[in-house]
Amino acid sequence: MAQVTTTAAQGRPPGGDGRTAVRPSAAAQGLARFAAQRLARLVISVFILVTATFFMIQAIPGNPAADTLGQQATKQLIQLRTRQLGLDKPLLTQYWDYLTGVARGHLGTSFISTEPVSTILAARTPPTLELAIPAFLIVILVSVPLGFVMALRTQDGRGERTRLAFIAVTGLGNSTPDFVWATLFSVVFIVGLKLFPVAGDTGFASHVLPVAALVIGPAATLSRIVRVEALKVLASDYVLAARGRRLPSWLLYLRHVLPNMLTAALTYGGMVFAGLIAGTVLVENVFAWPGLGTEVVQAVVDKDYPVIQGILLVLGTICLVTQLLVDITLGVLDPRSRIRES
Amino acid sequence: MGAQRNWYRSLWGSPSAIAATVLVGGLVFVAVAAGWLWGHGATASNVAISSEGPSAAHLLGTDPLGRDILDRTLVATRSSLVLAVLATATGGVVGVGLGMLSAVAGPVMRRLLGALISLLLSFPALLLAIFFAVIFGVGSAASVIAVGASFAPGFARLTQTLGASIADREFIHAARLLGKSRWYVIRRHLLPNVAEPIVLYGTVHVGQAILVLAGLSFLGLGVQLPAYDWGSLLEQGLARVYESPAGVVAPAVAIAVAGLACNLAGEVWADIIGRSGSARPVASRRTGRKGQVTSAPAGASGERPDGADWLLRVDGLRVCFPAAAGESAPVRDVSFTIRPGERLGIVGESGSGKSLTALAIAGLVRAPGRVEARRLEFLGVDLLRPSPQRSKVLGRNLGLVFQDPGGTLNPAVRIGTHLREPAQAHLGMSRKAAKARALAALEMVLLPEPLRRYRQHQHELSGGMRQRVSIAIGLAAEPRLLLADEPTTALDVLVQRDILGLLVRLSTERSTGLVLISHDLAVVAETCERAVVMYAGFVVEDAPVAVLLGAPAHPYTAALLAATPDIARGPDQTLPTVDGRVPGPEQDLAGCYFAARCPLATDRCRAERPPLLRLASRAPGGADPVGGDGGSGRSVACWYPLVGGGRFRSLTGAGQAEVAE
Amino acid sequence: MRDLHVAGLTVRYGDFTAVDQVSFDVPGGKVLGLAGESGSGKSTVARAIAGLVRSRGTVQVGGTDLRRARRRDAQARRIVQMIFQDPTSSLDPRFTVRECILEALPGRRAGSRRSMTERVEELLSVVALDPAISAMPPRMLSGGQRQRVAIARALAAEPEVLIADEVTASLDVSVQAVVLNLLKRIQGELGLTMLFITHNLAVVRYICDDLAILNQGKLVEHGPAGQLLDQPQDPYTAALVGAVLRPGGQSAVNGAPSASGQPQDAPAVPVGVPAPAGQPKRSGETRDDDHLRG
Repeated sequence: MAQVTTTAAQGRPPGGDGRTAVRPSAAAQGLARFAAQRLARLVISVFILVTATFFMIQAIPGNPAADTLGQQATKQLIQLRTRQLGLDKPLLTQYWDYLTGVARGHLGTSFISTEPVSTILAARTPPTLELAIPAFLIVILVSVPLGFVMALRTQDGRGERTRLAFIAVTGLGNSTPDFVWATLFSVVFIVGLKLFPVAGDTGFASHVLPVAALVIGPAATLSRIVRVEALKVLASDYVLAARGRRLPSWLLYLRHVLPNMLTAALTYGGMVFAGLIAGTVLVENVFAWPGLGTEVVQAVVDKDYPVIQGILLVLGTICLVTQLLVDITLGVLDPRSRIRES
Repeated sequence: MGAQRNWYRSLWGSPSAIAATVLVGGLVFVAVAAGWLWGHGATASNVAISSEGPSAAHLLGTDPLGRDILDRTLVATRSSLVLAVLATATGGVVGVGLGMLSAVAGPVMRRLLGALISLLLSFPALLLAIFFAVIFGVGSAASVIAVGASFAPGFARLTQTLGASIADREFIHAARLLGKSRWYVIRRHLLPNVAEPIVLYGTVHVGQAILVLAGLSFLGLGVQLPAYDWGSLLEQGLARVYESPAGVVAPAVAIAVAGLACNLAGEVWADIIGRSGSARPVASRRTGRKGQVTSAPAGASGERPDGADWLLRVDGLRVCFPAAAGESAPVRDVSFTIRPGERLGIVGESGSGKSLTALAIAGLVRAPGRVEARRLEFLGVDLLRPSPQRSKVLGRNLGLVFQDPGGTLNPAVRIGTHLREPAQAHLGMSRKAAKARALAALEMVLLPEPLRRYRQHQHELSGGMRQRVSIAIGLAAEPRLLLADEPTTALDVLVQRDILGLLVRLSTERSTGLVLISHDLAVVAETCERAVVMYAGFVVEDAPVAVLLGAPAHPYTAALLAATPDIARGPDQTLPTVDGRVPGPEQDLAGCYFAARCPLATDRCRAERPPLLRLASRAPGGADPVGGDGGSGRSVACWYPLVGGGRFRSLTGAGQAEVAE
Repeated sequence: MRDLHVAGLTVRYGDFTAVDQVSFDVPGGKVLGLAGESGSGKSTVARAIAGLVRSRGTVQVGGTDLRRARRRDAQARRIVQMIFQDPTSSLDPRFTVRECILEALPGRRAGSRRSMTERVEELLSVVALDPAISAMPPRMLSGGQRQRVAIARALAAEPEVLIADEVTASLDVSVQAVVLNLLKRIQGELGLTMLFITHNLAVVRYICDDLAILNQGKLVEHGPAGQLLDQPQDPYTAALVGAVLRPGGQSAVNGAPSASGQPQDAPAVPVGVPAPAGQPKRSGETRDDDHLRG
């Protein structure tokens, strides 16, 4: 995400001479340094994430051990659970144990099923990704061309009806949350028309409805954003200058318009993926999909803290890694973003 | 009064505005009144009719306790909306507070806060909400806090960004100079200017809050029984979807409608802000699709095989746009000609229409703008109608250089590619040949280290270098005419001299015509042979430069000349001024457009507009040969030209002028 | 009529030195022009004197050290008032003209609202603006009118020193003349000590008594305006003066456009190569100012 720049130094010479003494292959070097910087940032962020999941438990008011056992718990059981959770040790020791545990992949054991959390995660993460990744690809492949074509149709105040229709359809698309789409699809296609399997991950056909539900909202939002960005680019001075050079249209769009649009689209694309991760949590619950979403909801209800911690860690890390990939891709495509960040 | 009309227009003026107003109004009404109207049906349990499908008495069926689902959905409106508003308000207060803090904090704190906010923004709201739900438990209060906490980073980031952009504005500095305290500045200057975008963000996020809260309730983590909201109703409906599928419809539609209403409301609000906000600066370029043709002079559309006599002929050029009341014509009546290799300057202040004239010639005026002319020909090809010949002749023979080189070079495209393009597209050169040519062009414009610059992007070059590159691009296809619009306005004086010298040299070496547009008479004096003065969309004078500056004929030219700063002007020499403003493009006057400000204007000037007429030269001392078109003849659009070369001495309050003969 | 004394003024941003040991004096009631290209530091000098950026060195008005005075009493900031270049962003878009000027009037005076209103109208007439505009927000005014409001606001604060930072750079020539005449008249009548920042040497002789040239943060030459412009001692000054174009067309470079084909404009020092000591360095940079010319 773009950093807020501090107040620009007044009187500092813009661009220019101070930086002209740069090595010839500066561009390539800049990228490597930039990537390293971003990677370091990722490591720190993951560290903060891990710390946050740790303190999440600590911050729970009352006695977490007692909460997980319900109301019939005896004093001994509570003590046992407390020791199990490691809550009787001093804070720093708990923290250190937790950190080293995570680093080695020992994420604890589920209270309910007594399975190791890492096993649960290993089993449940792929189904979630099976929904999130295809959904992401579809969103990008649909929104970018659609947004661009809409921009072409509606530039200079033309295509008022097209614009209204587009706004209306995308408005409906992104106002309705994914779980509502999922529910409606469930009702219509599974219960009503009986076209798709009832629940769970049973092959290709069972993926269709969940992915479809995930895709609609983000595709609507992203195609709107792409359209707005494309319009901005089409109205820019450099496109005007390029038109003045009477270049053939296809060259104009491909070389002068598209690259500038992609930068903004990509930034939002990163946010889209994070949103899709959240969406899977909801959609999985509609379709009884055996992924992280259904697991985490159950765990929250059951107060199965180790599992919750593990799932939040995995989901959170996926979001952070996506952010890293987006930043680096942006850095490759748009050299200016590298300079701004450093 | 105008503000009230704006409100009205914003609320009812367009379909989306109407929809927004109706929907939001409806939602609020239902939230308030549902308890009374449908409360009974929502709570009256009747196990006898449990889990029934739709019927006459219960339009969408009943739930397991026999309660009417539609009624329950309507009653749930209140809790869904209220919780969403609470959550957004919580997030808003915390987030804005954080953002303000970071705006007034020291640089280290600001960076830390910024990094923290960036980190939080990497995670979707639902994940953060689940995190807080673990801490605070499940239930309405907890989910409001959870959702509010997940919104706070977004508000904080927005506030930070807005604050930073405002903090840089000079009225903040000015307030500090008045001795005002930091808190005063925040309260009276910072907050009011950031309030509107923040409220807009909040409005849109109420919709988002409804969705996230519904999601949490749907997952069972939000509102707990016996309370209910749309999310929990949806979840209950889903659980019984096989027995009574209709049970999901009402809450699903309710959520969608509420989300839609908030989005639309956000757009309407943005529109209201936009109307009452600061005026946008007058666009110096209007872009649009290639304009419509309205007049082609009879018989003048024939192609002339060679442009030996004329490079460019402009006669009666007019560029207009539709406006609120009728039409706006920034270019009203412009005529001039250019011979091959000639250097012509177009001088005018803002509102003169000079830039739009250039755009019209280059065929870059886009719809809804319209270009009309008795004649607009370049190398014998008619420019009024879009045609393949027009594209070809313009691409090959017209080079363009604009004012802001940073804006006209594509940031995503390398310099080298910019330079290669025209040659490849119009001269059909291969990539290698075009590259060699491009490097030669960079050397020609005296850009040091051409090979290195070839590979770079525009942000790596300084302003002067960028402008040299622009000129090289403009000359890349070996055009017959170069059109330069304020090429040196953004440059320092030393660079300006170099660039102007470059333009003159290249033009003479290659016999390329040059049209140089500038607000600065001195620039035109330095580079051009002839000059055309524009005022309010008209050409008011057309003469060789030396004559124009030595003995201006039009009162406006004389005034402009007198007011132009001159390094030799001492403190005791008056700087004459002309009060008043240029008539805007919407005005349609019968007489001379300068008459209102002209100290010599008579009733005739105000009633009848003087056409551009050739001036027979009676200048003493040195005959100006009155030649054919162009060349050294001169024209002026004035009933009382200062033929003897009048110069304004002073302007008294009553608008008299002493004119020296 | 108090003197402005600046000694060893230095402004640094990290490694970068924007202003390097600049010293000058402006006698009370006189106008000093501060000229240079972009990146020369002239605006930074202005902001440092006004106390808007942190700086080292001495700044005194009438013998009083400004930095110390400002620390003791916030009202001491009013001693130096500034008129900024961009008329759009120097006035709060949400304030009316009247509010802009009212805000600048000194504290509570006995006598109330009416006397304040009178004072506002008085100031508006000083800058030749119709009092009827006092209810309008800045967006309804032209650039020249906004600059005049900015001047009125600066005067309302009753300053000792007035700094005009490129105030006419974004205005049309005819409007520029109005504003310049206005500044000249006000400065003369009120005896304000004025610092006039500009990149355009053509107006210097008209407005300024003395002239100082800045190059890359250093003061290069300082003296009476006319003398500096007619007989510049420093080569950089000479280059700047020589590059000024004249509306009569007789620039110092060449009278009529040259047809000889010789690249007279080839830079003596190629852009980007560090200049040997003493040679004028061509900066080749874009102005950091924005222009509203249409």
